[in-house]
Amino acid sequence: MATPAAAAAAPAPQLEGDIKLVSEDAHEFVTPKNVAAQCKMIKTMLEVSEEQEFINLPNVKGKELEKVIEYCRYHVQADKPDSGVSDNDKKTWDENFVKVDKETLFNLIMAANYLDVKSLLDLTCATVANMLKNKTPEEIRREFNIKNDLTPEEEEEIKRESAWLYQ
Amino acid sequence: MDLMCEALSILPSELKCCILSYLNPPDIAQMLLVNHEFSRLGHCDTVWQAICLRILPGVQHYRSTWLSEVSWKDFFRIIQNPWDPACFLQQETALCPAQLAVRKIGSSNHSFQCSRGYHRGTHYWEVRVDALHSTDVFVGICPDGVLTTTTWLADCPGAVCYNQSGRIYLRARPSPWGCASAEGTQSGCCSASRPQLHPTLALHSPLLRSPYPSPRPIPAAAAPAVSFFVNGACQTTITGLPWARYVPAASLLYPGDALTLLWHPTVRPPPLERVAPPEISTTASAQPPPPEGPLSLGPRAPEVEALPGPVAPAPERSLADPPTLEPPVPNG
Repeated sequence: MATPAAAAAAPAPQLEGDIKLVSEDAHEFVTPKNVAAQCKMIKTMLEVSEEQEFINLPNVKGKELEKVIEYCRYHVQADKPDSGVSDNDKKTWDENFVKVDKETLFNLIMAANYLDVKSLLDLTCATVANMLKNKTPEEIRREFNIKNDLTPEEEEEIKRESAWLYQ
Repeated sequence: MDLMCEALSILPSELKCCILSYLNPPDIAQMLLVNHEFSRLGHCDTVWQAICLRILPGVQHYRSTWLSEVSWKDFFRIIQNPWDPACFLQQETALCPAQLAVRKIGSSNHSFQCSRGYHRGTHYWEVRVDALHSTDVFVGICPDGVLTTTTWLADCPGAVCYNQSGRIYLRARPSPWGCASAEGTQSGCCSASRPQLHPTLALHSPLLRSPYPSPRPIPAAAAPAVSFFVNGACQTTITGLPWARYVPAASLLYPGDALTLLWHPTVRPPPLERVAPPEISTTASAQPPPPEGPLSLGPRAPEVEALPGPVAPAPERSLADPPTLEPPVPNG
């Protein structure tokens, strides 16, 4: 039996062929396994059983799953050494990729988290964070439809305690 | 449009924290005021850990000290304080924003310095002597890189210090400021300058000022200086310091002694025109200033004061210039 260290050093099995991904709302996407394996969750499942023909993803809707696959497909191609795609090109593509409505963006965050695509999770969370920057609490509430449940006294106390954050 | 779908509330707390970790502290402060949930999430350790590691790369080694016991938010607060984080390696220090309170407990040396140095501009800070059980408390400035947590300010060539023995007096080094001589490593009272008696300094909150005129070419009299003020009146001034990057610093020598250093003075700084003539003048000839590289303000806003108006002898420029802060230098 291989030791854990030896197992870690062993090359990852080459993923060939396609896999069918089935979303929560029964949309099916036939995807190359090496693209689907960009999602760590799917990669783990493929490594456990290479023979399976489809994977059910009950927490991801078809619309978001399609976007995640699009993201993974682009980065698999762009990350190839001979792709000729520069870092700037990738950045621009990423910026355009997340130009979606808020609902889609939030669902993408949840999908990236569930499927364990760290780069996509970072990208989408940073995008939402950029929407929050340089805004007043009232502007944030209005933009994201959040109800203020703080009393004026509580607000004053928070302001007093967090004054150092402005330094 | 379904407004509920636009609500961040559809995300679980874990993912909201992930989003918050991409914000900077002033934006976190705004998020705390959004609602109860964000008020709670804005204090999460995972959020502040990510912020610390993103904004302050290279500070992780401080987590291996007693600072590992504090939350990441408090850790960030400590590291962002203008006083050198190295001085927090001993637990007899306390911290408020921009303020360091320190009390000597053990017998080991206890020196600490500001993490912000300067080589031009006019800088003020305030010193409160909270407890004095001994004869020596040293407060002043020292050239950057000289003071460590195992040395005393009084032993540093170029240190400006005052000594309390029922009375306060300033002590100068016998050698030119900042230049080590045969006596340069000795501590104790020097023979070259008589003690300057200032019995009220310890009883009040002395305000220290360090003006840095920096015209080119540099007249000798326009070299850096440090002044001690009480109630707006200059008690004494030491001039002729060699050009260097200086940091506010202090040393406590005996158990029980305690100081509080305030980066933002609570008293109004006196106008520059009221600077008294120097009482102690060193023999140092002004050296050329260090080459001024690109201004590096770092992530923080400058917290030093630059008052307009000339100082005698009137330089062509400088005091009206914005002060230069250099990046924090990890100490010790």
